[in-house]
Parts: sequence; C-alpha cells; structure tokens
Amino acid sequence: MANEASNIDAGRDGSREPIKLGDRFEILPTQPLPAFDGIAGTAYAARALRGRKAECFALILSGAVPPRTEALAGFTLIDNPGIMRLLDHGMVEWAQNHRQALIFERPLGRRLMTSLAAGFEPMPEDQIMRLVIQSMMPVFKELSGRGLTHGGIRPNNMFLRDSGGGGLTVGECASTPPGYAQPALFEGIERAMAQPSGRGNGSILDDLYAFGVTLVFLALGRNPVQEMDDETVLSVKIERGSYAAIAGSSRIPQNLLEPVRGLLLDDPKQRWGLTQLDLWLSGRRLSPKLSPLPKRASRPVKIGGHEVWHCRGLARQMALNPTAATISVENGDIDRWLRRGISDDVMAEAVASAMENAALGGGKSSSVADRMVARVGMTLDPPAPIRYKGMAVMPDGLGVALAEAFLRREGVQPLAEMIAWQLPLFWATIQTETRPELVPLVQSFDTLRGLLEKTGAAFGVERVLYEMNPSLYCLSPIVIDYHAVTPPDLLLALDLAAEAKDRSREPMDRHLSAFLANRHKRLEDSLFTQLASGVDPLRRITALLSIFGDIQTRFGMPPLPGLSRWIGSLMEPTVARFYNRPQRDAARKAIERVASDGKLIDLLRIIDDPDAIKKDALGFSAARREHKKAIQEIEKLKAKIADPTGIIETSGRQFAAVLSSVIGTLVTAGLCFFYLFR
Amino acid sequence: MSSRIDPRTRRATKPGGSNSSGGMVTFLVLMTPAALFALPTTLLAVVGLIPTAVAYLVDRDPDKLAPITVGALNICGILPFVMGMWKHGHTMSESLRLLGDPFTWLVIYGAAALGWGFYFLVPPMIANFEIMRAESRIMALHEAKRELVVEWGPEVAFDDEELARKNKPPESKS
Repeated sequence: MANEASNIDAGRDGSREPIKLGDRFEILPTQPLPAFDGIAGTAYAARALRGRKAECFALILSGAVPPRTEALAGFTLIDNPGIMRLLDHGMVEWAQNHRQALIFERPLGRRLMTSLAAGFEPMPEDQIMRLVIQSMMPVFKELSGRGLTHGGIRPNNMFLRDSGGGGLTVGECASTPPGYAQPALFEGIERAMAQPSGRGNGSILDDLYAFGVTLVFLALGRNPVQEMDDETVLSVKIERGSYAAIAGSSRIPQNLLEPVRGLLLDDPKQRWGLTQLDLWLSGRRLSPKLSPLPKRASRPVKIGGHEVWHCRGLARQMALNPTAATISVENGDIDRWLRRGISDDVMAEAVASAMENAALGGGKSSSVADRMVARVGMTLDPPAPIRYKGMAVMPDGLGVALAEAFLRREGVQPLAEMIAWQLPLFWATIQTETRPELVPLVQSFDTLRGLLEKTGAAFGVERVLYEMNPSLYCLSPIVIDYHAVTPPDLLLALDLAAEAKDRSREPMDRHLSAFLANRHKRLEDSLFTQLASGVDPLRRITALLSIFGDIQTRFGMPPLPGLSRWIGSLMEPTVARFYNRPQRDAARKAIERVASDGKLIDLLRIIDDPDAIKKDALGFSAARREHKKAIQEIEKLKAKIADPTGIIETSGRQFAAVLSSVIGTLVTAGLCFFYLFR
Repeated sequence: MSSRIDPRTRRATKPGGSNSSGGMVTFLVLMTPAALFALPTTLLAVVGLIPTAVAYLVDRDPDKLAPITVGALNICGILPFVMGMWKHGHTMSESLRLLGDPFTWLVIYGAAALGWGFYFLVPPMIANFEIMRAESRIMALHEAKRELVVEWGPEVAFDDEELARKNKPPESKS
C-alpha cells in the first residue's frame, strides 16, 4: 500500500487525458474495453510507461464491492500464462474521485464464453486434457503454494491465450472477494448457500470444484443446467448431489468422467485435490465414490408450504421462512419429524438443546425466535453457513459480508447480532469433525464480541469491521474516496479532505477511530475513550492531536498543513482555557502559525504546556484577589464619602489639634528665644 | 485611618471616669505648692486659661481635642506676658496690672479665639480634602478593575460558585 499512499494525488480529474498510475502505467479513459469489464469495475486500455511491451488493461473499481486488498501483493507475484497476470495496482483520481486501479496483462485471445448462456463448439477430449487440465495444473499449484484461492474459475472468466487457441488463461480474481462473482453452479453446496459476500476465502478444493464444473461446460460446449436459476440449481444439488445435478443427464466423454466425478464430490474430504488430479494426469486411474445423499425421511415436513424430506432441506427452508419455522419448532412438529420421520433421536435432542440455548441471553421475543431459527438451522445442517435474519454467511466470510453491508449502506445489524449472540461460536461447536482452524476462529470471535459490546468511540461494529478486514480501506465518509489502508494513508487523505468545501466539522468519527485503533496498535485505548462525542472539547482535541501527532512523528510523515488547519479551527476551546487574554491571543497566533507549518505535534505542544497553564492559573488567582480587594476598598471609600461628619469628627479634629499644637510649640520656642537672648 | 473609632461610640465606651478624676486630684496636689510659690503667674494663668477650661468642659470627646486645639494657642497668648513678668518683676501688682490692661485680655483671648477658629474651620476643610482624595482613589480603583477584566476576562469578577459553574465540563458519556 506504500505505493498507493504515494499515488493518492496521482492522475487528474475527469479530463479525458491519460491518467498515470505512479510513473509505471498510463490509463486511457477514452478507450473503454467492455470485454474485460467485471462485476467490481470497468476496464480501460492502459500502456506501460517503462520497458514492458505486452498489452495491458486497467480495471477501475467502482468501490461498491469490498476489494481483495490483502491478496493483491500475492497475485502480482504470480507469473503464469494460465492466469491473467496482475501487473500493478494503486489509487488514481478518476472523474474527481479516488478509485483503485488494477493493471492486468491483456490476453490476446477472446473470452471463452461471453455469458454462461452462450454456446460454443465443444472442446475435444484430448484438447481438454492437454490445453486445459495440464495447463491449469501449474496455476492451481502456484495458488495453493502461495495460500491463495482464485474464487472466480468459470468459463465466462476464461480467455483463449492467443487467437490460435493455444491454451486457456483464467481471468482475474483480484477485484472481488473469492466466490463473490461465482454463480451457485460453480460453488459447492455449502458455499452456494451463502450470500456472495459471505462465502469466505474457501480453499483450493473450492477452486477445483469450479474447475470440475468448467470441464463439463467445455466438454459439452454449453451450460448443462441453462434452464435453471441459482436457487433451483442449489435445490437439485442438495437433492441429487452435484455430479448428478450438473453432469448426470449429459454425455461426458468417458476419459473425463473420473476427474469430473472426483472434482464434483460434495464432501470436501472426499473431493479430488491436486494430488489426485496429478495422479490421474500421470495415468493412474482412480474411482471416486459419489458422496452419499442426505438421509431421507419416511414422510416430509412442511415449512411455509414447502415439503422437505431431509435435514439440510429443512434447515434451508427454515432460513427462508423464519416465521413458519418458529411455529413448527415451538409446536413440536420438527421434533416429531426428527424422531419419527427421520428416526434421528440424537438430532432431535441436539435441536432441543439449541432451542434452550437460544433463549439464553434474553432480548425481545422476535430476537429470541430469530436466534432459535438460526441455531436450530445450524444444528440440522452443521457445514452450512450461519443463516440469521436473511443473511447467510460462512464464519470466515462474515468480515467481507460486513464490509459489503457498510459499502452498500445496508443494515449491518443482523451481522453484528450474529457476533453478539455468539452464532459463529455455536457454528464451530456443532461441527461434526474437529478442524484445527476452528480453534483460532472461536478465539477471534470471542475477542470480536468483546469489542462489539464496548461502547467507546473506537469500538462497536466499526471496530469489528476493521478487525475482520485487516486490509480494508477506511470507510469513514470523510475519507472513503481516498481508499486509505494504513494510518499514514489516512492522514494524507484527511489532509486532502480538509480542503473540501463540505468537509465535516471535525476530522474524526467512529470509523476513523475504529480504523486507527485497529491499524495503529501502539496507541493507548484511553486516547480513543476521550474521542467520544460527550467528552469535554478540550480533552477531545488533545486526544485527537495526540493520536494524529503520534502517527505523523512515528511514520516520519511530511507536514500536513490542511489537516493541521482543520484541527486548528477546532482549538478555540483549548485557547479559551487560558484566562489571560493576551496569552489567548498569543496562543491563537501560535496555532495559526504552527498549523501552517503542518506539524501536528507542535500544535499539541501549544495546548499541552503545563507551565503555561500553571502560570495562567496563578496569575488568574492573583488577579481575582486584586479585583476583590479593589471592590472592598471602593466600598469603604464610598462609605467614608457618604459620612463627612465622621471625617470632621475624627481626622479633621485631630488635624486641627495637631496644627494648633505645632503652631503653639513654634510660638513658644520663638518667645523663649526672644526673652532669653534679647 | 481604618482603625479609627467613631468618637460618639468612643464617648459611650470610654472607661475609667473615676481614674480620670483621681489623676486630676494628683495633679492638683502636685501643682498646688508650685502654684502658691508662683502666685502672680498662677493668677495670670488661671484667668487667661479660662477659654481652655471652658473648652475642656464643653468637649464631650474623651480625646479632648477641643482643649488641646484651643489650649495650645491660648498658652501662646499668655506666654509673652508671663515671660515679661518673670523678666521685669514677678509680683502680684505686676500680675494685677497686666490683668487690668485690655491689651492683655485681647492678646490672650484673641489667641484662644484663634484656637476655636482652628477647631471649627480646619476639620471641614480636611473633610473636603479627604473626600476629594477618596473620589480620586475610587476612580483609580475602577480603572484598575477594568484593566483586570480586560486582561483576565469577566471571570475575574466571578465568585467561587460562579466560576465553578462556568468551568464545569459537560457531562462525559464515557
């Protein structure tokens, strides 16, 4: 992100001139490339400014989809002809907004399918083996080696490497979270049940599943389930299994049957991985067993008018019809069906336990009902996503789902409630198999719940958002357009935002404080406590300057005059703390001067000067005493003036007596002198 | 000045009336032989100091500022005649001669009258002067107060309660 920080002010506004990404690439706004448009942005021609001769294009992200920032560095390192190469990424100023731009190497051939509904010439078996499977193996291996998943393998995201048809290149996957743009057809049953933003990172096995579906497309030259929508595809997959649903009624070439069956196994433990695929390529013949279908009941149970025959279907219908599900659970229909229809007393007991647990924690009755439906649903289908109030997310996809909800300004409350009611913990505890990755998951959600329940400025759902998305840019309305990912980026963004005419009153809100608390761990939590809206303005400003000043100093940042002036404009309460008016004027002038210099820590020094504060307080006390003394003296003098007789009787008479005595003494002395020495 | 007590109050609270008369008796006992020894002077002094004695009697102020004011000049009026008598013949006839001379009366009682003049005229002048000085001081104090407000703000005139109310920070939510 360091290069992004330096590129925040790169490029120009809505002019049609080329826009530079650093000094490395030039994007041509006049040359859109709709063929390369993606769900997250639009494509434009681009050219390298240094050395590189290969053609490239830029994908300008709209910002409506959470970016996959954490994986960008990994993708730029992949140099494999089987995957569209990410050459560079960074921020550009696009139509007076800051946008993230991804530069890709442009494939020479066309897109394999313009849409999943389009048909094409079926690919011969040997070509699939040679040009597709063999050429994609290194891609999968490299992704797996780097701990990355593609999450976008499907025929309409594949390109012919060249016009001669020499192999395939899988398209980009860096602009969206894994699986975000995948139709349900290309995802395993569990991930397909989750909303696109809540599918989580997945694993290479999920990419191999999508690859298996893609092989069916290539072999048939069409979409085998073209007439079905996503929901129907998912229902059929649940009822019959993925292989039967997708390839069951099609004629798959004999040689491809094994890998297709292996890759489309619904049980991830049974599904073919890279090892099996490698063995198959080297000639070993494996006989993948189809995953067992879910246990079917002797009689169906009705939820919201739908008949369901097995637990997975029941869990799904409960999530789709929570009101009907609540009634069925509470009147014992579900319990009876589990015990008599499906003869699974263990499951019935587990459901009863889930119902009891749902009532713990209190809340409104509707909230308890939603929790109960979610918990019972998870109990009935443990590997399925957490489904609560219309949301369906895998635990590791909750962060991206939360980011999407914030970006789309949709309700984040159901997602926050999932954490607050410990649904991910429940999900982890009911998994039938022990998985090592569940231990940190449980710990992290426990921590997140603690952060969510705190009410301070740097806590709440915003803090959870940044904890779960460590590479997400700051979503504060003040700086959202600048895509700031690090604290220095954020300060640079605030410095630029300070010049905006409609800027907010102060450069701080819940997003900014949560972002900084997450990304700059060296800051003390107590500083963020001072940022709460009800805190004394003086303490707020001091905390604000302490936070920003620390970042500017620690990261060796350049002067930030815009941000300094912005904060300087809020510093009147700190100036008003001084009683001494000349000192106030001096402080105002000092703030103005230092703000122009752009050093935040110097601004802090002006207001955080204990000697000056003490001196002012002592001077003020002395002045108050002097003022009081003056009032008392005035009152005394007025009383004296009001009583002239008193003056006459006292000092007047005394003065007359003294005067008379002095004259008498002088005359006496004179007479004595006269008579004695005459 | 601030420790000054109202003379009317002092008059009411002056203790030791019997001590005062006791002192007078002692004085008379000591002075009687001297007075008998210098009888011509005593005669002249007794007659000449009648205005002072009157002042002593009419002045209700325990500090007896009237006899001091009148007496100091009254004595100045007697002193030339007493000293002249001491120089030219300290006899009863000389004393009587002086008492028979209207000029002597004029000088002695004129001086006493001047003393009364001081007693009645100087205090109002002093009062006027002090009032003028107080008014000037009040103006200076007002100016000093104004300067304090300019330098330290209106808070400098607040009492402790007002100041605490003004400085009270808003209720913190944290």
